[in-house]
Amino acid sequence: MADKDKQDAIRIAVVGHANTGKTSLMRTLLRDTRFGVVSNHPGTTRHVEGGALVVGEQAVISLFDTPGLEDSIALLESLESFFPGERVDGIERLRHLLDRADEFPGFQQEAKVIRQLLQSDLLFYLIDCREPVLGKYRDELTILSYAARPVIPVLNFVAAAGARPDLWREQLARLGLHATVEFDTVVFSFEGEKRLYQKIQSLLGERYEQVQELIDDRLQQLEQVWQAAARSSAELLVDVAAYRIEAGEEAAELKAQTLVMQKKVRKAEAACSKMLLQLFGFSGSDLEAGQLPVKGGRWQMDLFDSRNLAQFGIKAGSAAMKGAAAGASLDVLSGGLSLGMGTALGAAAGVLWSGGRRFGKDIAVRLRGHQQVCVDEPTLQILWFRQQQLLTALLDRGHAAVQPLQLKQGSAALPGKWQRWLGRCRNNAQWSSIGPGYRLPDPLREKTVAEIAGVIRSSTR
Amino acid sequence: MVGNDTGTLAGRLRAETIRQLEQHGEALPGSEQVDRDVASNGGSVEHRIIQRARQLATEADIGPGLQRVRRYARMLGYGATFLAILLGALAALQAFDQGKAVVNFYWLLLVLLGLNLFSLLLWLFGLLASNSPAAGALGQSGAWLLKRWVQWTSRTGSNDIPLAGAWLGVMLNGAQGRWTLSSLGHALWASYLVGGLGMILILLAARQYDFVWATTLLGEQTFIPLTQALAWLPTKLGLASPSLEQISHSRLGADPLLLAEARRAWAGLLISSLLLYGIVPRLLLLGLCRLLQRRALRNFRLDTSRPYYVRLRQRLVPAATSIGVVDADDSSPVDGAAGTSRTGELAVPDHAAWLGIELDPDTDWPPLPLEPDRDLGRVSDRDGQHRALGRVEQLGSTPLALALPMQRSPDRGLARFIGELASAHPQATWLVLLDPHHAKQADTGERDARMVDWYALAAHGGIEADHISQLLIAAKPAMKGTDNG
Repeated sequence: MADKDKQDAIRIAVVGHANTGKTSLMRTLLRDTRFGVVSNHPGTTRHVEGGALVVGEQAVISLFDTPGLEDSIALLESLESFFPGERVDGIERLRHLLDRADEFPGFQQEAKVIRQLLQSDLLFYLIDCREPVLGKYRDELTILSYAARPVIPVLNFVAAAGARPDLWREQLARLGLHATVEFDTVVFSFEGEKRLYQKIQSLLGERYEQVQELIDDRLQQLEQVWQAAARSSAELLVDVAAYRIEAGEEAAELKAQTLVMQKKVRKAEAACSKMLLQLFGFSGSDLEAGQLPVKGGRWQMDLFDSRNLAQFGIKAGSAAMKGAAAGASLDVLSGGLSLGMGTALGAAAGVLWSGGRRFGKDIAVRLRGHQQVCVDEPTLQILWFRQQQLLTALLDRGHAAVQPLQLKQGSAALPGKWQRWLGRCRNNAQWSSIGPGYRLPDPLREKTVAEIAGVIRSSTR
Repeated sequence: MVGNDTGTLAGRLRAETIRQLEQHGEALPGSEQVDRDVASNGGSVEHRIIQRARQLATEADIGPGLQRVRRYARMLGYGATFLAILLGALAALQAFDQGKAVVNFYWLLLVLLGLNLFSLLLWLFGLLASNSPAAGALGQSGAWLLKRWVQWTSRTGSNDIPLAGAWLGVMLNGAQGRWTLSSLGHALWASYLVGGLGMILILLAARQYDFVWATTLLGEQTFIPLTQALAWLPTKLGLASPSLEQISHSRLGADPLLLAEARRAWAGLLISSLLLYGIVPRLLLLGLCRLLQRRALRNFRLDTSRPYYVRLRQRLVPAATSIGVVDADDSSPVDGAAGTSRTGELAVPDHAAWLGIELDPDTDWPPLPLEPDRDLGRVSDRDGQHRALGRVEQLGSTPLALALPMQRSPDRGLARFIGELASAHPQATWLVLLDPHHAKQADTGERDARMVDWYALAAHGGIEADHISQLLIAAKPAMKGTDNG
C-alpha cells in the first residue's frame, strides 16, 4: 500500500494537429472550464501546460497539453534527413533534433511537443474526425511512432456533422493503432471517459490498479454530485411549494405581496440553478463568457410568463391565470377540526402546540380578513421541468462546450407522486426556507425532499 | 441543553455555522485563500471542512457569537426551570385548597404526579413512535424563544441569528436533538415536582392538615389496596406510611381519628411518593438522556452529502490540480488579423493553372473545366508537395491558382508550403478557398475567424489580399473508402 502510494503519476502528453481539441480534452478530463485557451484559430496553445488528475492526495495521471504539430510534413522530412544511409531508430532522430533545436527555429513548437513525447508514458493523439485522412496527419502519426510510446488515438467531434470515424479507424489500423477511443469533448458522457481510462489500463498493464482507483473515484464523485444536484432541486421544489404569504383583500396589497413572492421564488430558482452549475463545475461567470442563456446562474426566461406555460404545454387554470400573478388563495379552514383537538390536547400536555400554532395562525389570518397566497401549480410544474432540463443538460455537457446550452421542449409527464408531494408541502408552510422566520429541521420534510430527489435522480438519466 | 463542546464537536458546530452563513448567499470574505490553504494541507473531507471553518470562524469572529448564543440558551434554560418550579409550587398550593385544614391526598398526587406521569407516557410514546423531536412543542417554543431573544439582542450586521440557527440545527436535529429535548423535558418536570415538593414541605411545616381521600363511584376496596401499593416502596426503604387502620379512617366523612401519627404517616407517604415516583425517576431519566445526548453529540458527523458540502468538497479536495506551464512559449505571437476580409468575385485569370491542396477526398476535381496541362492535380502529402513544387517551377508566366478547403485550419505547415509555392512561382498566385454549401450554413462568427486566419496565411506566403477569393462548391456526404490524397 505504501509503495503504491508513492507510485508516480502516469505522464500523458496530449498531442495532435492544430485545432483538434487538445485543450478541450484537458478541460473535460480536468473538469476545469478555465484550463488554457480554446479558440478556433490554429496555434492557440503555444506552450506546454499540465494538469493532474488526483485521487485523494495522490496524482494518478499528469496530462500535458502541447502545441499542435502544425508542420509535420517538413518535420518528418527533416527527421528523415538525419543520419543519411544509416539504420537509426526514430527515437534517436527525435533526440538528434532536440539536441540541435537551435538550428531549426521553424520547429520551436514542434521541439516542445517532441520533448514532451519523450518524457511521457503514453500519448493521446487527438483527431478531428471531421477531417479527411490527409498526408500531414499520417506524417504526424509516423513522428509519434518514433517516440516509441503507446498511443491512444482519440476521435473527437464524432457527434458532429460530416464526421468520418470509420475512415479514421481504418487508417489508424493500417498504422498499427487499434486502441482508438471515441471521445467527444463537447458532449460529456462518463462512459466515454471510462473507456479512455480503460484503454490506458490495457496499454499500461502495470498501472491497472492505479487507473482503476481513478475510475472508481470519478464514478463515485459523479454519483455524489448527481445526488446533491437532485437534492438541491428537490429542496427548491419543497421551498417553493410550501411557500405561503399573507395578503390583505385589497388588490394593491395583494399585488405588492405577489411581487414579493415572485421575487423570492425567482431568487430561489436562480440560487438553485447556480448551485447545480457549480456542482457540475460550471460557474456563473463562465456561463456568461460562454454565451449561455443562463445569466449569472439565473434563467433568462421569465418563470411567471404565460408564454412560458404554453412552451411546456401546461394548460393553466383560468382562475390561476387571471390577474398578473401566479397567486392562488388557499383555503386552510379545513384544518379547523384539527385545531379544536389540538387546543384541547395542547392545554392538557402542551404537546400539539406546534400544530395548534400552525392552524391557529391560519385562523388568525382569516379573522383579520386576509388571505394566504401560495405559488400556483402551473408555476411549480414549470419549475419542475426547468430543473429537470437543466440537470439533464448539465449531465451531458462537456467542459469544453462553448455553444449555448440548448434546452429541449419539456415533457409534460409529471411524476406519479406529484400531487401527494404538493399536498404535503402545501400543508406544511413551515417547510419553506424562503418564507419568513426560522424553521427547525423537520424529519418529514427531509423525507419528502429525499423522496423527490430520488425521483429526480432516476428520471434524469 | 448545552452539550459537551470540546474537540471536534466544536469544530463541526463551527462548520455547520459557516454553512448556515454561506448556504443561501455568497462565500464568506477571505474564503478563497482559506480554501486554497486547506486544499493544500490534506486530510479527510470532513477534516478539511472543519479546518476551513476554524480558519473562517477566526476571521469572521464567530467564536464569541456562538458563546453568546450558548449563554442565552443556558439562561433560557434557567428561566424555564424557575418557571417550572413556580408552576409546581402553585399547583401544590392550589391542591391544598386554601382555608381548609383538610387535604385530599389523591387529588394532590394527581395534580403533581398524575400530570407528570401523563407527560412521561407522552414522551415515551413520542420516543417510540416518531423521530421528530424538533417538531414537538418544547423544541418549537424553545427555538422560537431563543431566536427571538437573539434577534432582540443582536446588533445589526452581526451573525448571531444564523449562528443561533446553526446551533439549534445541530443541537435539535437527529439523535442528539431527541436526547437534548428529552433532557430538557425531564429537567423541567423534575423542577416542577421539586417546586411542588418544596411548597408541600413549607405548608406541612407551617400548618396542620388532615389527609383524607374521597370517592363517589369507587369503593373502599379500591383505595385501600392502592394506598398499600403506593406505600410498598417507601415502607421497604424504611419510610413512614399509613397503616391499614389509618387508611380506612381517613376516608372523608368517616370521622377520622385525628391523630398526629396518622397525619405524619400520610405526610410521609406523600413526600416519599413524590420523591420515589416523581423526582427520582425524572432525575434518573435526565441523567440517562444527558449521557445519550453526549454520546450522540460525540457521534455527530457532518452530512457531507448536502449539496453545500459536496460543492465544498470539490474545492477543498480538488479532483485535478494544475501543473502549470512546463514549457513556455518564447516566440512573439503572430499578428493574426492581417489584411482585410473581402470576398471578391472569382477573378482568377482564365488561363491559370490549378493546384488543389489538402482538399477533402470527396471534393470534385477540378472545380471548373480545365485543359490537362493547366491541371496540376491535388496534393495532401509530402511526395505530392515535392512533385507540385517541381511542376510549379516550370509554369513560367502562367498564373497559379491554389485551391484550398475553406474549413481546413490554416496551420503553419500550409503556410510553409504556400510560401514555398509562392517563391517557386513569383508570378501572380491566387488563393481560392473552396467553400462547401454546408460549411456556408455554419456559424458565421466561426467563418469570419477562419477567414482572418486565411488572410494571415496569404500575407505570410506573399500573396496579396486581392488575390484571395472564395468559390462555392457542392457539398457531398462523406464517402466510404480510403483516402489516398
